[in-house]
Amino acid sequence: MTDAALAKTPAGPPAGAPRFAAARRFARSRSALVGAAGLLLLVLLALLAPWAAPFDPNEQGADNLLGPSATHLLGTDELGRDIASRVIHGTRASLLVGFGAAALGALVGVPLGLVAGYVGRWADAVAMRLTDLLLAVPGILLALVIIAVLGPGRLNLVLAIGIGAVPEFARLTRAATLSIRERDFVVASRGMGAPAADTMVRTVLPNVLGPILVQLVVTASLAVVVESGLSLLGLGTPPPAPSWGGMLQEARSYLHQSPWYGVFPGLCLAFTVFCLDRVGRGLQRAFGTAVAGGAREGTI
Amino acid sequence: MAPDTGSALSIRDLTVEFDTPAGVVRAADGVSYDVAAGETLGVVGETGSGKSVTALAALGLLSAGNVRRVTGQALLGGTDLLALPPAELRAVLGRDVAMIFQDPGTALNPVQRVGDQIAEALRVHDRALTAPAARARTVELLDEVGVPNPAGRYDAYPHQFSGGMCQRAVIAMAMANRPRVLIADEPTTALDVSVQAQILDVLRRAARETGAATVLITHDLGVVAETADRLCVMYGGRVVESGTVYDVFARPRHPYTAALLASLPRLDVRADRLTPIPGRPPDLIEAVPGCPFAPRCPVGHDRARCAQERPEPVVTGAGLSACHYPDEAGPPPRAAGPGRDAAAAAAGAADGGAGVQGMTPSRHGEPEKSGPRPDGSRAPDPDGRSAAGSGAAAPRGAPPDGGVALDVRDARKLFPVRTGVFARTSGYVHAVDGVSMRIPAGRTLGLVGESGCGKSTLARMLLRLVQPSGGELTVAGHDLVRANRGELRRIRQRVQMVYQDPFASLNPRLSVGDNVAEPLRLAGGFSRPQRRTRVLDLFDRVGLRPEHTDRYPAEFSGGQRQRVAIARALALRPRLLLLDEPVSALDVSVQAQVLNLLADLQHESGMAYLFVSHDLSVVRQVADEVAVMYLGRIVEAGPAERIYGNPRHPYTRALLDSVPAPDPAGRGTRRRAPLGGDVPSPADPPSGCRFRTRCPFAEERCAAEEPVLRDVDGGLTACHFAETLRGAAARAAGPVRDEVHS
Repeated sequence: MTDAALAKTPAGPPAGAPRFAAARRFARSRSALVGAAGLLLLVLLALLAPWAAPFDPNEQGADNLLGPSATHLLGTDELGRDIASRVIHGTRASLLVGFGAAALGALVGVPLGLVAGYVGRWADAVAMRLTDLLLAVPGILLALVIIAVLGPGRLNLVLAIGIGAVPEFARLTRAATLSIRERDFVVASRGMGAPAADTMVRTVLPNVLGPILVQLVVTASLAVVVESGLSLLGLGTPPPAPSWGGMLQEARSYLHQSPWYGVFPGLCLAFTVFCLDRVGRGLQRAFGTAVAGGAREGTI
Repeated sequence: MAPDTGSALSIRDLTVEFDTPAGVVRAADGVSYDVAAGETLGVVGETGSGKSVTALAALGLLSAGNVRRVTGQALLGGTDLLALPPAELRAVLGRDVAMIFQDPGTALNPVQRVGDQIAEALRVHDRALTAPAARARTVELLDEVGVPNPAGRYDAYPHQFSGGMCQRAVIAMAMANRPRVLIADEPTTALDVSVQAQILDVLRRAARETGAATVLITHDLGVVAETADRLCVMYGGRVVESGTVYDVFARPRHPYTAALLASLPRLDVRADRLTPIPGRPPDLIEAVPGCPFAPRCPVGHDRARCAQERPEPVVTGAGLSACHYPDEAGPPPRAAGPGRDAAAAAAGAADGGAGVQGMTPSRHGEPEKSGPRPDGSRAPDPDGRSAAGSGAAAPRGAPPDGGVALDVRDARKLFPVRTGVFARTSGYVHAVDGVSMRIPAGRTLGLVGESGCGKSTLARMLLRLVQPSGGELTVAGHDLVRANRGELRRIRQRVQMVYQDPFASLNPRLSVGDNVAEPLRLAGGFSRPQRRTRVLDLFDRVGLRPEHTDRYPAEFSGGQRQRVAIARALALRPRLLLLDEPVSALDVSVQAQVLNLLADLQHESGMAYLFVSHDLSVVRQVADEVAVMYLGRIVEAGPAERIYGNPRHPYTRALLDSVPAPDPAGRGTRRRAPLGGDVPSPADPPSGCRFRTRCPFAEERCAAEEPVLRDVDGGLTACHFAETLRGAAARAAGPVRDEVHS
């Protein structure tokens, strides 16, 4: 390492462990913290929906299409249900499908990519052709087909969007694995007599986790949008359960009578995607150096 | 210090600061030096000493976004480069000042013809030059730096050049405009020793030809002793000593210089112990009011003045020294006596009479460890260590009853070369081609060779990280070639490897304690508390603080990381340790610490070592037996004394002659570049004797008939003329080897 390169890294021992170093880098970015706080709020809202919402979301207790008032903060919909309560309950559907789909994609894609990248040869060929197959079909079309076959429903939504996310995770994990599989510490693990599965899980996986975490958040934000899109087409969360996409679709029909109907579901959707995006970028920055050069951090 | 009109380049009070997350790093702190026309100034220092940063800053080449400030002056014949506007600075760079970088592979543009790049350097500064004239001049330059067939090589691309050839082209480019100042930043560090000797020769010629002042930045004291007129030692961003090479090497006036010279392993004599510098380089973030070297200094004796008052460079003797007590700086290693021991004893005496291992680090508040047995002064300790290693603690030299740790017969490794659309195998690279060796328990075999000779492939074959193509490999009594998966795992627990780069070989996501515990976890049969106890014991053995087990590798310096890697390798008490260039990524002062540690561990446990290295001086220090590899074959092997004292293969002799000795005395008479050319491609090795294309003694017989490895004078040599070369050896021997013969 040249002196110039050295000067860029701290000359003293950095104060914390790498995983905490990434957390610190994340925390240094204000926009990432704002995103994380917003996300936390949404999750709390989803968990506490029955208590946070003023009315039962499916209770048809008021007049149709009322404007915002003291009792109905956001007014009522075409069946006299409280829009504010429906928006709050709709958070559940969006977050569940968003994170569920991302988790499913990661759960299938990461092991696939890990094996493809580490074992190589035939395993790589099989796994990659499989992902090519999935990549060849546009994600939304794939989701439409799956919903058409399995029928609508939350679980099926997660499945439909999650399967579409598998190739991304597989390719990302494979690329990251390839980039470190010949590094000395991976070779050293093999040299110590570690079985391949052990090396993959204990040595390779923790070192490729950074980009996977970023992808997880990016996928979640995409899935939230796709869920709304499918609901808009009537293929999302089945009525009468509230979902933002479904509400938007209904609001479309009453655009002239009550223009405020669709405003809040839309804003919530935008806010969720914004928060996820902030967090995703924050993670990317935090891990950007940790993945490529984290091992070299420090001094000689 | 008024600017000297005679100097081509004067650096005046140059300070460079960087912003980092941890604070402001002062990488260079009031650095001043001068170089006169026609003179070569060697700037020496370890990693982070500020030697490169100073030069880059002086030329306005520091472009990192986190440069905080650059102050001072860089006077090139009276003009301050730091005050020049960018356009004028650009006109000066390349015309009046030229720079040669460390890695020739990245210094050239890979998609442009080599000749065109040099011609461009010419035409940028001389618009009137026509293309044919530039071409003619370029061919001339390539010829001057020793590129064979320069007219033909003009149109080659950098990837068609070897590393040495690339560096020649870079030097040609630097010489192109006859600059007044030539700055070479570690110009030979990336090259093999035989090529290094050639390049140093070219540099010397280039400087003479152009009359330029040369600044040679390097960490290698041998290179400086061989090439420089004057020398300037940097430590912690400051110049601590400067003077003529002869004076500084003969009588260092700063304890750091003295300690650095003492910690070097030598080619001519094997020392019982090296004398490392305890501790580690200073943290440039914390501003120290006193001397930056004080915590590691054997002279300071914790005197208050050293800790409080910053020593400024003052004229002492013939040069400058930034030490409050320049006369106590310790006698030089050479003047003290013929061998290392005397020097070491003297250094110890300066430390307060603690004996040869006088560097008791804890006394100087060494930051990295404070255990009861710092590595510098550890003696084998039977209690609590009886469990260590397979055999009982065996005295060095006598093979204990442990038997043979490694037996290799006719090992081969072929890598297929695939070409064409269908990736058909069109040939094979013979990376390892019929190598046999044996290492008894408790002994060290040094495996030496230049890059690409197959030594690392061989080491990796011994763990079957590389699948052998043929031969018999017996490791600790087990057949490695036919081992099934379970057996292989067991063998891998008996053989452990220490890798070259401690920054890459530890899992960055595991704490260092968990890294060391990995082999125990994989072997199974150890409960968590047992593993913990074992890890603490290992930390103690390698001189690391037990309370650091929960920290992560990123928090440690290179030397400490290598200790962690060694602790990990020792966890299962292996019979054989494969050391793949274990100290080549470390600074000289730390290198000595690690080498001493390895010697202690072997002494305690009776492990066998295979020590792979390109550094002949290091191997001299550690090895009982030495094997020299060239293009996949062993060309010479035998006891270290025989190989170093009486080399019979022309390649071994050339290698030994190529190593620059850290002693300028008598350098005028030394043969400098004994080997021409580069190592041929292992895909297409020469017929007969593989070395014949570079051998000064080659005859027709060498091309037709392959020499066999046979007993010659107590060792094995594969040369047709091994028996008759003795007289020639004496003639060619320089002062270094004369000491051995006498």
